[in-house]
Amino acid sequence: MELQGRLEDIQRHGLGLAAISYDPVPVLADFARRRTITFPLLSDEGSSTIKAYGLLNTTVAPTNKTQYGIPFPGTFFVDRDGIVTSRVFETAYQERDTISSLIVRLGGQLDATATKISAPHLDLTTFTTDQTVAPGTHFSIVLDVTPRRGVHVYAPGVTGYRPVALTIAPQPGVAVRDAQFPKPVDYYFKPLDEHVNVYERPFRIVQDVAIDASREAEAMLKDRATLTIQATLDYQACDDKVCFNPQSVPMSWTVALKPLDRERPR
Amino acid sequence: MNTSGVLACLATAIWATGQSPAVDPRTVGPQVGTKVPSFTLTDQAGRSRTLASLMGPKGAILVFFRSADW
Repeated sequence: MELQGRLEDIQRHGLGLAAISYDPVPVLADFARRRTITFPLLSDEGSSTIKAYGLLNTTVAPTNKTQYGIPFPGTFFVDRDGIVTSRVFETAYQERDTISSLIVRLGGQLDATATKISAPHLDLTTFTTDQTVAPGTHFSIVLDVTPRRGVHVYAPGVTGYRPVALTIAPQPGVAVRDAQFPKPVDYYFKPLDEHVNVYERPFRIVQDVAIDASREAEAMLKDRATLTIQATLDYQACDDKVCFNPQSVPMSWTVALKPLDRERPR
Repeated sequence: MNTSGVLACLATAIWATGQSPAVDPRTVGPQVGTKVPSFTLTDQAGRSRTLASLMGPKGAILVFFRSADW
């Protein structure tokens, strides 16, 4: 269960965790025992909390005695005052962001083994938020970039220099989603009286990736044990005297593939 | 459009919603920036838990899932 596996990361990020369903306590107790779940599974028998949250799944008819009372499945991140800071409700049941990916996107740290990539003028380390993915999994590729002393690179949107760009090689079954770049700093280059957005301190690129959950993609990925995603990091490094040649650094990540998990919860 | 026209449209919209089970789950439940309702529920060990008792120093993650039973 992914949540249990990330419990330490979640707690290190300062968050509590609970999962809520309409199941009676004995069902949850049995489930927790079988899956070795240590965080609270809360029994909302009668679905009053699910209703109070406005989450009662209206696609299930009240005459459906087994399933009536289930929620639209989803996840809320709330602050200490109970204010929602982030929420994940996907349109298709099999599509979901992994908790690891959410933690990273919220600025948290993950206990992940990062790989070093050699590149001119930069120290690069990278990891994926998840090592095993399935059709519908939304996860993230994380690239930590440290410009070496005195060097800066150009932020996305900058013209006249080669801005930092992480380009994922397209491949069937993999959807490339948003990339998160931090806010750059303003760099004043006196000889040209020029202001330009740069990164000169360590920064993190978080690139979201989704495994296609369509039937075609599922069929195509069915017999594959792993999936390799390839990308190129383009950038140009300069210091206060020299602009070096633009660079194009190849990199790749391999994740294990598992079949679509039709079982809920995660 | 006059008031009765607006009402007719609304009625049609409500009727259409009632007929169609399609709901965009992104629109249901508390949205970002709003406060979630408090609750008191029993956990798998039989202990009573409130939203406040689940909070870590920075808040909490609440996962609503279908069922542990099927």
